Amino acid sequence: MGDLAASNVPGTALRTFGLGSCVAVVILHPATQTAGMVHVALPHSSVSPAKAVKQPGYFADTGIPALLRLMAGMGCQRCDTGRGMIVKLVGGAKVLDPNSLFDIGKRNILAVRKVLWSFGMGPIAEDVGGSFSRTVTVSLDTGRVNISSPGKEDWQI
Amino acid sequence: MKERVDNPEIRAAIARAPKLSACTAGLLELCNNPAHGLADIVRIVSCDAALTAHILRQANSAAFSRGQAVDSIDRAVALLGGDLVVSMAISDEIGPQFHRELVGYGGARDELWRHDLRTGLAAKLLAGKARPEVDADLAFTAGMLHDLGKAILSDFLAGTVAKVTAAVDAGEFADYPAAERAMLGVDHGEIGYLLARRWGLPEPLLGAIRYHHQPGNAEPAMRPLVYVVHLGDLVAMLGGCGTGADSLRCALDPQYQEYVDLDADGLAAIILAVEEEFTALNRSLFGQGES
Repeated sequence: MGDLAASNVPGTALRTFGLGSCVAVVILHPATQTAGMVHVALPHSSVSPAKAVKQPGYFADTGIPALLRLMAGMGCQRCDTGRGMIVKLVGGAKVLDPNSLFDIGKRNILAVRKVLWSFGMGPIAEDVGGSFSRTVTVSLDTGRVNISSPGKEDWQI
Repeated sequence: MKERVDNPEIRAAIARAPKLSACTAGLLELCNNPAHGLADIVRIVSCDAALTAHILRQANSAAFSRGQAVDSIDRAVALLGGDLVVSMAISDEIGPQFHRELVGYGGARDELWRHDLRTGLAAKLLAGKARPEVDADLAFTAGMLHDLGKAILSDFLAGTVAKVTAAVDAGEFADYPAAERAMLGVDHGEIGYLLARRWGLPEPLLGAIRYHHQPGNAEPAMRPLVYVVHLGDLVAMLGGCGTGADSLRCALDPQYQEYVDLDADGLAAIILAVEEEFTALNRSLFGQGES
């Protein structure tokens, strides 16, 4: 939770386990064959600025800029303008809660979209919401995002 | 709610489950008394050489000792704190149950343990937001024990995961525990309750274990604690720590608002605090953090 990582080593994969209401933001930069992922747990760092300093990936508002900085440092030029970047979102689940009293997943998704939008970026694919946990694996070679969940067959976006 | 379990094999499995030692039973009984202190914990732990040794070993581990030898059980208990001592007692005693793979839920090894520990931590934090307030130690222990029944029910649910998952997602059942009741006539809350009653656990723990998915069915006086555990369970699931296919496929009872003060920001703060405490506790117990 709250971790972020990027890689440009062919054949590798990035993985995050057991997303509940958390959101995995996957950012791909095909020109440099770089893939990054941040595991966002909460929408806003205002809950704990100290945590945001220690682990910026924990919050949408600090995690996405931190991932973009990491990827810029790996040679993804102008990545903070969204040029040549591909974004996918996974997670943001909820419990069975018709009144959405506990829907922190939806708040995470909305916060992530807003931060992406501030960089002029939007997701091309999403697998969000629902009431089940997800494990996410990003293949660097194909840019495909594999999703697995107990009791279901794997699927890809 | 009826107490009988019709399935003789499930009844036999409950009867086969290990008994609780006097020491662990004493620690669990203690949490029902809000006036208890560390001295009471020391008194009970001292009667069990194995647990005493484990606690001393833990207190002298790199995570706690800060280079100074801890040679008395008083100092060791003070250093570790009540939560850690109670969770070590539970883990020592019924650890194999907690740590085994849950085949009937598609839950990996150790998932039940991690889920229960997170639920306990969340319940402890939520205890202060309950109306009337709930004792934090009682809430922690109730959270730790709430899913006891899964360790037994899991075997009887083997091979059903894909089918039940699809049926719950299609809306055929209100949630996963409702599917358990439809298939086996009993859910994991009821099984856990029967096991805990056999162990002679205090009444509030019995209520929390039995009704954590249907808190409105608990006796009114018990509801603050039961709702705290109900919410703590869901907080653990939202944080990505469930026990397999049933994770998140559980209904939130909106009546919680009558018993617990929790808004969206409060929920976010609790998710964060549980994560931090879990990472610290997990590192102390097993020398590892959470991925």
